[in-house]
Amino acid sequence: MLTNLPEEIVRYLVEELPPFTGLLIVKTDEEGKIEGYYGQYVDYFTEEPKTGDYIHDYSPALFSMVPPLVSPMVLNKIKSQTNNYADIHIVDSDSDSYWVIFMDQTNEVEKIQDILQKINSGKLKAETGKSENNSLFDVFSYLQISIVGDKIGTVVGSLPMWFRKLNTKINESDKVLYTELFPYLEVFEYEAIEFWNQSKNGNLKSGIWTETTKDGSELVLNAYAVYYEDEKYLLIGEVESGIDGAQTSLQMARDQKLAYEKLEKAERKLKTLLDYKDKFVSIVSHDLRSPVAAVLGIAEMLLNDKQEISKLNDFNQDMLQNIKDEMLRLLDYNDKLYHWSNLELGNFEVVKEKNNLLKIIETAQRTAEQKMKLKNIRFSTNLKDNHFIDVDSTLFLQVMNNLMGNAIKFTPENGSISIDVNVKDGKTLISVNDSGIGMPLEVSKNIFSGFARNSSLGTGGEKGTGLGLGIVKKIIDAHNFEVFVESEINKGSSFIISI
Amino acid sequence: MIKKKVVMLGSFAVGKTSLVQQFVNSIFSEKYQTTIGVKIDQKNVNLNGQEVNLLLWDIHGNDDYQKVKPAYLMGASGCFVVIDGTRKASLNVANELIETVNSTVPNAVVLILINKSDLKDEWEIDTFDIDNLKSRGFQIIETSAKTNTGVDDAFTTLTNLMLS
Repeated sequence: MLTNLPEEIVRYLVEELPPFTGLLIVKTDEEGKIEGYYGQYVDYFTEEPKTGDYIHDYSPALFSMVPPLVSPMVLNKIKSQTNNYADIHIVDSDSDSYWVIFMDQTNEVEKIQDILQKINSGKLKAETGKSENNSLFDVFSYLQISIVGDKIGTVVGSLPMWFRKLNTKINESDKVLYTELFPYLEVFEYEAIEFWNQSKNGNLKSGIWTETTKDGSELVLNAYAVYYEDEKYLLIGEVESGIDGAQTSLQMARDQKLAYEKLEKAERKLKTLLDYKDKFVSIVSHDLRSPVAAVLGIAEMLLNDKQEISKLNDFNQDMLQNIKDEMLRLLDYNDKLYHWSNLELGNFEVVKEKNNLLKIIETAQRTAEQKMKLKNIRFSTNLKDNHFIDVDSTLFLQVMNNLMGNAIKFTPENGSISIDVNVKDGKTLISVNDSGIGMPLEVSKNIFSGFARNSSLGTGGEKGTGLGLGIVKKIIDAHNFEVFVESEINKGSSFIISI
Repeated sequence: MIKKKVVMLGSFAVGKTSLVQQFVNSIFSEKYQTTIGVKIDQKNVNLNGQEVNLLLWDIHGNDDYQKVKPAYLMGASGCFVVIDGTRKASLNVANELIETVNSTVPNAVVLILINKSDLKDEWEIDTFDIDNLKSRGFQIIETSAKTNTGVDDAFTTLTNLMLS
């Protein structure tokens, strides 16, 4: 059984069909093979429709009706296997699926339709054998349909049961202005007058409206404008369960829409908070840079002043060196944080130009040289000649610096790092390889996700910011390149950029 | 007794039915039940000794599924255009409906209700939106059908405007 209907079908139900009763909607493919159903099947089929069966197995009248000739195809009053009558609409929702909608199967609807036809063909008198007016009105009274004449008319026949529920003192045979009785009919009056002026056959439905009864409950009504022997009549009847199907479908659709709106609102709120966070980080890291750089400068100045430093004992000299190292680390972290927040905020522009890759690699190597020397790491590259690539040189150098820094961090003493460049299938592949400790798959899968909560210590106890690889990913994405990692525990890792 | 037709207009789930129910029957239900078609209610109000019969047309919410027929507005002396303070989208629908009112019943009095004032912390309608509506000459009342805040005031104000 289907639990959801597509929006276009819900709209079709609401706009085209009410009032109706006993809704059943069957979804089929273009050959009429059933894919699911919605509603109560018992009023139309003798057994529950099964997925994969053909719709015409359950309702033979539909043989060769799917796919429909036109969309929607409307088949009025087809007798179903359970001897109920049904209005059947076949609606083409998309290229693959069709929706067969059954409704209006109740005896009352059948009788109303029958009587309306008889009214129009003038056969009612002969069948009832009573005088013209009484026979018609008796039948409608039996059907609990109230009849009023055109504009100011008389309530004809006995008042239906539902009428007595209303908070009105109208009696039978009272002259009544129906628009006063039912203000909704003011609207219908315009359409009805047009109908009466143009046609002497058929009937026109008003669309449903709801009145409040004496006890506060709701009474759903519908009106038909009809002709009878050149007289204009309005037939007003209760729609007992008619709106249930539409109500349920519309309720479902609107509940979904409300939930979606709430989700959108939450997303907007979250985005605002994230933007706020990024702006905050950007401002703070920018403003922190100057005081940190100043402290670092003072520490370096003191350490470089041999005369002054000699006055300090060893412990204090070590402390001063520690201040410098920690300030350097803080500055590096701060720079990365500033860089990161600006990337998150989109405060950067990629200006691609032809750049010599060999020069970028050499610059990155020079930047990393001191750190490599400390761990006695060998460096090599297979790129000997000039090789030009379209990149933003500043941003791409940042990428190479971060990858080199990462490789040094996780490579033990006496290890090796290489940057290899290969061209494969028209793509330039730049891989930064190390002979380091490698990483397990669960780590490598999320390695580029930005803030690493617990950035691991390097093989020499190096502390990290957890931002470096996130920055790499942002810059590579902004270039429309790709970056991925291949790693093996205790053998090393390769970070590969595909251009 | 003077009789006036009042229509309730707005997007779906803004609280039109709840406002009418609160005003007419002094009840409120937390459960959202969408309106199909039109619900008709009546209430007599006494304004400075004058009895006025308000005929309230609670019209289904306007969206892609159900469009408000301009014919529903015929004969209306007053229109409430209801906005859900927590949903900005309902303001756009309100603006569309105001245009429909202006073209169909230009003499009808329009009063804008910003409903769900009990959820003011979650409002998306801000002072800029409200000032914008005011600058276009609309009178605005903040209401809550749930806490019955501003509801009687809204109906009394509209009745006053219709009579004047």
